[in-house]
Amino acid sequence: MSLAVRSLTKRYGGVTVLDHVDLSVENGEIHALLGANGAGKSTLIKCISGAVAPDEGEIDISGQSFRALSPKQARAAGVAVIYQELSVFDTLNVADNMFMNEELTRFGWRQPHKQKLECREWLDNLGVDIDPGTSLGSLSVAKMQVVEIAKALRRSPQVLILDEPTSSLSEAEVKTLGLQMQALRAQGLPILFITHRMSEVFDWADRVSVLRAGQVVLSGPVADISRSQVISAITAVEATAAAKAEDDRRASHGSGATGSEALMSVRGLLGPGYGPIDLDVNAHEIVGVFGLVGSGRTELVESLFGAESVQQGTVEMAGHRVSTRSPRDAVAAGLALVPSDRRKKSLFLNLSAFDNVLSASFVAVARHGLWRNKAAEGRLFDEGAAEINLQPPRRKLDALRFSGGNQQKIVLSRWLKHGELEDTRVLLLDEPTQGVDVGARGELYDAVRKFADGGRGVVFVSSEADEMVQVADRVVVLARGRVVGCVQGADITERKLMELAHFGESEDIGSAGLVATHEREDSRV
Amino acid sequence: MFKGIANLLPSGRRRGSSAGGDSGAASNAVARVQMILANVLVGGVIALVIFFSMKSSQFLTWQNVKIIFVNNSAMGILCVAIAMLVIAGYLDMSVGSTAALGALICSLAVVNWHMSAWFAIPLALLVGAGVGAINGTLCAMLGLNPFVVTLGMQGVVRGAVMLIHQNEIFGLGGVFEGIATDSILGLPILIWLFIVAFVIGGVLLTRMPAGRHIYAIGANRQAAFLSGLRVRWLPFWIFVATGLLAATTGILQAARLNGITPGQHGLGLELQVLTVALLGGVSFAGGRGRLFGVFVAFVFLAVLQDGLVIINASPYVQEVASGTALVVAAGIDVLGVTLTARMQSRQRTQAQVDAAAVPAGAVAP
Repeated sequence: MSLAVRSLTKRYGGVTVLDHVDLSVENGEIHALLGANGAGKSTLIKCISGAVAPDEGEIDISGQSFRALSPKQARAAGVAVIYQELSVFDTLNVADNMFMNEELTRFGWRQPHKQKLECREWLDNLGVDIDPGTSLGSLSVAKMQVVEIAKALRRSPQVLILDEPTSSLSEAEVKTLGLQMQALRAQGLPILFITHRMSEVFDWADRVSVLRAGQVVLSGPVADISRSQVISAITAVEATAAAKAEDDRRASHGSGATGSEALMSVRGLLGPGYGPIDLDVNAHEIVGVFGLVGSGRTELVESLFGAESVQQGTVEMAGHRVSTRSPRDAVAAGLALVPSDRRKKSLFLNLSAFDNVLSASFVAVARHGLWRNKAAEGRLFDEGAAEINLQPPRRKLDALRFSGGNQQKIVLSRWLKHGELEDTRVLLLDEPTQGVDVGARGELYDAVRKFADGGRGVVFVSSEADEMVQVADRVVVLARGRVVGCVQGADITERKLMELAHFGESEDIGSAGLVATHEREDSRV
Repeated sequence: MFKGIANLLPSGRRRGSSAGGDSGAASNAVARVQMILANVLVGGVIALVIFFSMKSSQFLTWQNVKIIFVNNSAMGILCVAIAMLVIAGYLDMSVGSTAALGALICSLAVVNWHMSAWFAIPLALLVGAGVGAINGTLCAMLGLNPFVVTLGMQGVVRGAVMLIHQNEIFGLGGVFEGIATDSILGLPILIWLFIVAFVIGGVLLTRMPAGRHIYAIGANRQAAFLSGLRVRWLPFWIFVATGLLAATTGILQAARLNGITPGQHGLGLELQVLTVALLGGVSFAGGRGRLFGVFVAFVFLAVLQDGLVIINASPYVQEVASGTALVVAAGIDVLGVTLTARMQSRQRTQAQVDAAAVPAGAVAP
């Protein structure tokens, strides 16, 4: 037995993130781990790799038993983890990366030639053709990952853990990785890999486990488990809560807008990581864009906003073609974007809440567009803060002093107020509730709904199915950068969205019995 | 624009033969473009040499080649340390003042305190290393901003120099005269020292593990820390080496002038050496650069300076020319990054098209 986790429990404050988790990976076995966002997958890996100390339970690695590990102990015991966020040295070559701090030396001298030879051997064993002398930064993410795997294998690990290794890979690369994992299994290495792609589970894995809310809700040999069992295990939430949310939504918004003229229509949009995509957004409508990690959702909205390159396709606003060359053009055309990752992409952390909210509207509020109108600015901020219930509603407090939810409110308020002044017609929201607590979420949803009710359109991107159920009038499901389904009104259920997304990630769309029942859209939505 | 650049590349290499994801061919193309851009400066040196040789028959003589190197080798020695410091992601704005302090201590020790040169020189080097250790402690150990700290130290050390001694000191004596003018095996001592500095620096950067660690720390400090590298001590010792070499430069320049003017000595040295390092392809962001490039940049600037003197051009022309070279180098650097990004974005789009199995004609090649 190579890796076993017994009754592992981890609590943060009052929240139990891992609840008596049992999991084992035998020698020469590929074990797939699935679960929705926040199910506890990352925490489990962190416990095994020593980054987090569990509260209860034990971890067995090759017969050695640990209550808690330090990162050093974990490495010494033979745990090798390939994280989703690779931590590499872009400017150095492949061999140098592989031997970093473990250089081959003779009398203290580096032996770059010998390192390259050995590096090539490891890479050849993995069946990839990478020149050890090329700089790592010029490789694709897939190849960087292979280099990381080779680096891990050099330390002769006892267990290999891959954290969503396929999320940023193309299909051809995914296949290659699959073959490599099979080869490693044949050599007797136990492999635990986290994924959300159903096809990988059933093509590669021997065993599968599903985590939900910190508990293992399904575990067994892949041969004995069906796809729909896995989906059910991932998605099942308390039925009453889901039903209630749906009722609420229907009661308050009816069936959404129908038959109205499209505010924005996108045709054949194509760029790095997404497309070709068609998409319409109508007035009064919140269009959900749902997709798993790596489905191209962020690439899509950022391209619509001109922040990423568009290679092909058109975007029309109210029948007029608009430029997607820069965010400035997009704002002029009546678009606004609340990007994902607010700390990096949207907040000015060291500026006040006031400056953050007003940053998009200073010119619009100014007298003759030139002289600042402090009274009007103040009114605008106070209105915005009241609308979204900013806590505390203090103008001068630095943005970084607010809680995550309130930081998001500040960003949202910036574009809502800007939208009213400058007649924004379509608001793009990319994961607007990431790291936002439940209470603040409700307030954000209400503000977005009110904005749409004013005759505008909203594109709401999310990776959380229950959120889509609550806010969206219509949901477009993305997988591998393409539209794999569209669900409207009462048909929007968590289960249906997860099915579409998970099966869309596999190649055999439609062949799986469950999906066959949905008619597949011809990619126009 | 986009199409134009793509067309520069041989068509067969533009795209991987297998469907989706194979970056081999394109990254080779990228590597080749970068290779050409990295060696533009070698062409620049050759062009300068040809130009000045045609203008003046004195230019390409052994005597003049020696002069070109002797005039600048004191400064060139310091470029080795600065290059390492910038590769590791740091910076030192105080080296000019440190050079002045080292030269002053050395001169005072010999002239006013009547010490032997063989005590005075190590004493001065020790003082220089001490300044480096202060910089290293503040920047590398405590993590203060290196630009701000060393800019402050520039003032502190220059002020200290002026407080210690304001007047000129002349007549350093035979040992210093010897260092400045004697030759060993036909090569001036100054050139020997310059060669030794570059060889040691080159060996350290390319042949020893610590060299790779310097690159790693500059490229991704967090990843370096997680790889178990000494992310504090290694930069600390580079700061110490920088202080030591700054004092060396100061002493050698004093030896050539046979004395020092405390207010003037080493003034602007920090910008001079930084220009050489950056022109030589060392990335200001850290993690990238080769000592060979720094050497070529050094030769380029030295040849430029000497050639312009020989053809009787105004000395200000040299400042304009070297400044222009630096700006052009920055442009070339960005060109490389932009090209790479565009090619990669193009590849991902192509992978998307291939995956969608859209007829090939639907997308512009």
